[in-house]
Amino acid sequence: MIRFIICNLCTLLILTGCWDQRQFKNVKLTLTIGYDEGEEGEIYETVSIPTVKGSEGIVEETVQVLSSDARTPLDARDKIDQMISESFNPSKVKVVLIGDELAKSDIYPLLDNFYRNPNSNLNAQLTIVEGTAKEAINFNSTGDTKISEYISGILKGASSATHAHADNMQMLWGELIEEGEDFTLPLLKVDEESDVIKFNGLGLMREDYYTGIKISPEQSTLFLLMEGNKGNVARMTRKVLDDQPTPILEYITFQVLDFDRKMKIRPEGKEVNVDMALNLDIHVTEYPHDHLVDEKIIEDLNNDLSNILTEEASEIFSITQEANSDVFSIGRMLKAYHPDVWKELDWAEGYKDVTFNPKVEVTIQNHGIIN
Amino acid sequence: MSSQTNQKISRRQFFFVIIQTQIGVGILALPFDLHHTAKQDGWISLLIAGVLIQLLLFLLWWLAKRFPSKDYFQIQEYVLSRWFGKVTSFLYVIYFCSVGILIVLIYSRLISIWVLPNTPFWVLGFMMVFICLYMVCCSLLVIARLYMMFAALLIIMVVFIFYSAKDSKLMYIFPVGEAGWSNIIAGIDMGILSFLGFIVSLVLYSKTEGTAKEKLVAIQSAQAFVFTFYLAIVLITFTFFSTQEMALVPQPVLYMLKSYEFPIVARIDLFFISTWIVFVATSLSTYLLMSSLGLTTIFKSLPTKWATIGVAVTIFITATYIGYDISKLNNFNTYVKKGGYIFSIGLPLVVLIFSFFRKSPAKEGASS
Repeated sequence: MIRFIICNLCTLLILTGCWDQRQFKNVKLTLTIGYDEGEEGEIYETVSIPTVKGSEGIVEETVQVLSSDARTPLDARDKIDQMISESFNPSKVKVVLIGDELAKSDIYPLLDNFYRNPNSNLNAQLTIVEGTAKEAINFNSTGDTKISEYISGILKGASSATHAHADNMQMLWGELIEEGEDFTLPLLKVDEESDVIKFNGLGLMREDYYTGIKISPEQSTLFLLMEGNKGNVARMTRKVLDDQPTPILEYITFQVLDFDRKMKIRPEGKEVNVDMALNLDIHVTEYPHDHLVDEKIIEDLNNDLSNILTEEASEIFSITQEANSDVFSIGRMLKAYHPDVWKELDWAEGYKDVTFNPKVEVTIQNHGIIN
Repeated sequence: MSSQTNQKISRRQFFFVIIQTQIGVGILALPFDLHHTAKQDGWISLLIAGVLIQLLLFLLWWLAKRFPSKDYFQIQEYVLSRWFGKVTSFLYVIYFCSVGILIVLIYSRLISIWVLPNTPFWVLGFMMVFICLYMVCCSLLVIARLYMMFAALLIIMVVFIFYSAKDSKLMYIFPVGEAGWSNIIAGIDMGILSFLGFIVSLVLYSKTEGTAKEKLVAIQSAQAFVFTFYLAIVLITFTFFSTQEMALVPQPVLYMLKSYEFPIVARIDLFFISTWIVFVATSLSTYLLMSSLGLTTIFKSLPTKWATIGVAVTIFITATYIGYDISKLNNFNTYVKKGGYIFSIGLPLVVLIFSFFRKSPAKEGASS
């Protein structure tokens, strides 16, 4: 009798999968989700759903792109659910796209469902699309790569080339809601002429909306170094000479080998000064003039590049101030290390009054295998 | 079973039993609870609580040392007179049961929120209680060995937690002292509650080998270990999440791990939950063990087996009755927390004071 009961109990343990099983055959995984502004305060959600057909050898993949108007993101999900054969599952989402018009209003409500539900993938990348997200998701590239792979590939490339952050949605969340700390989101643009989607700079966010002001792709590398981030490669091309026979000779391309950034906040009364010292050890990868052995030439190049980049750094600071986007977390650092000053400041406008003193110091460390 | 009950556990096993009892259902929410009252200064509260508990443990050890051959329930009967002692022992059984119920409630709720939203409460509760019942039906020695083996899982937890430290920003715990001393002191309450379970060191004292001093070292170092583990968790989550963000994540440890993805393991948080379940089971087992120990001390003729089964059934039925009901859970939680102060701190100290009016049985034996 006891054995009978024990056997029953054991079977009961095995049965536990029944309530919560989520079988792959019953769901359609969506890998890309896009949000756009709809009419009258509604949102417009677009998803791409790949379906794999065929079983023996020949596997055919079709991608379905569906859109719907709705009040909230999950409302849209319900509506899209009604259009597809199985139910729709966002737990493997790789990229979340937001149209720039919608991003200019509060983006937090769009993301709440990702943060709230345990099944969502917080390792997804968040991106703003100049134009509409629908356009980007509908984009048919000539290759057969999925749109999610294409976009996440672009972003991955951008982050390893020090053009954008590799921050996922979870990493952004803190910056999204913390006071005195803002962030940037990568911008993408559908280029219809050359039929590509391209990385188009970093959008400056203020609290939880997109300011409409951006850091251009050319400046983004320096910007990220100023923030203290470096991908695998950080390459920049700058103009160092004038009046050359052909314009191509006026430029130098270099790669940052190592960098060291120091940021110091010096509050003086109600005025906040920020000194930023950025030391770059670089490796010259392209400079058609040769003669890179002469110490004098190298010294001059070091000085020229330092001046050019210092000026550019000031420009980047003033762009962020124009957007009033505290991407360098100056406010949070003030709060952390100078709480008395922080209490007296009104940070809603305070960031604009910060004085930045950037100083970029460039040292050429090597110049490839030729002189 | 009866032949083995008299066998004592080693000091090392004692150390792990204390750790396994203390580290339990609460670790997932500990940083949030501290943050809730003391903001980013919660770690200071934890620090103070840790020191206070060390002092308290010294007092508890002092009490146990006076009656080295009696377990805590027997000490009570001896010090507080037989009938009064039996009543308090019974209250202890009720308290240990309530903690068990609370563990089952919080555990099932968490599993339901994070992993199995459609599974009914009784299934989750039943599996947990059944596993623990199975574990406790062995002798204390077997339990202690099991606990020691499970402690290896701590390494997994520590690795996961330290892995996330790479994305933490030290800036977030500054400015120190922003919450104000009153809030930091209020936070000590949360800190002390997180260490509850140390009472096991008093209950199992007499069942451990070694001299009084050696046992004190085991107790204090177990507490120090748990404290370090907690402090690491708290500091890492406090620097990982921004101050505002902390207020939104009731299970910060899991949330932190959710944001990583490894090539093979996509959801580390689920891995962490699986290891955590083991620690929940060990805590629950200890409470089950202590309740049945209490019951058998009060009712001498009651077989241990039936006492344990009775306690397990009570825990399961009461927990299922409360179920996922959040307001009932909160009420219950408040009572058990208050009970924690009475039973883990108040009563043992009262017993200690009264014990000075009683002759220590060791001396009694010596004089006769």
